[in-house]
Amino acid sequence: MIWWLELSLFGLLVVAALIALSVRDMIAAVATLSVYSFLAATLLALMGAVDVALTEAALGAGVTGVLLVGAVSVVDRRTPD
Amino acid sequence: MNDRYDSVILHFVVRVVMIPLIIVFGIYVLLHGELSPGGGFQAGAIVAAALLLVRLALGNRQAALRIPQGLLIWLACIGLGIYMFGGILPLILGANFLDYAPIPVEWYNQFAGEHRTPRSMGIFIIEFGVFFGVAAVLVLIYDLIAGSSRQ
Repeated sequence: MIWWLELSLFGLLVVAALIALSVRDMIAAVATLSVYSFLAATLLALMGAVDVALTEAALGAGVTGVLLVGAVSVVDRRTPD
Repeated sequence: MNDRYDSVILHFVVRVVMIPLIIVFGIYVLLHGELSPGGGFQAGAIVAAALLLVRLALGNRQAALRIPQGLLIWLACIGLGIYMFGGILPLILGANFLDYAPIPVEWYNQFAGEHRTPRSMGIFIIEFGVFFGVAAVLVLIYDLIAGSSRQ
């Protein structure tokens, strides 16, 4: 019953990763990376690894996004490639 | 990211709704860490996320001054010290390093009205150490990055 939910979440995960790799604006890339981490946390919680999902949601979607925004404010915001 | 963004809705939501909820959830995750999913690392990351949210919303120059960097370094070292204490305490009581079996828990069970085993008490001590270390180091990393930004 839940397989279509996992499959659609996994599809969104791949789409978010591709967007985070291909977008030019660094802030948008950081935001998409946070979306990727949150989808990964949801998938891990669905698969029963609640401990790993809690870590991924707190660190990957929360703290890492803030630290990467701080790093983007040090370098240039737009990237040529 | 150092400047303050003046918005009544943002400040109300961050100060009144988000910060108390996140910190209470972090303490819940810390105190139930050895029984349910969670633990010191996750609780430290959640509380550090709350402190970073204060810095992002209320302006880094005002919010970061509430906790000076020396205190953050001291907190991280105290966390490491609590971890070492949890490891050395069984060594003093006659067991191996990090072997929680001889830790006395009767006084704590009488005080708190729980039925905690010595091993869960040892994990509890170590989770407190990990909590202080992780929260202090994550906030310290953000303060150092924000202090070196141009804007």
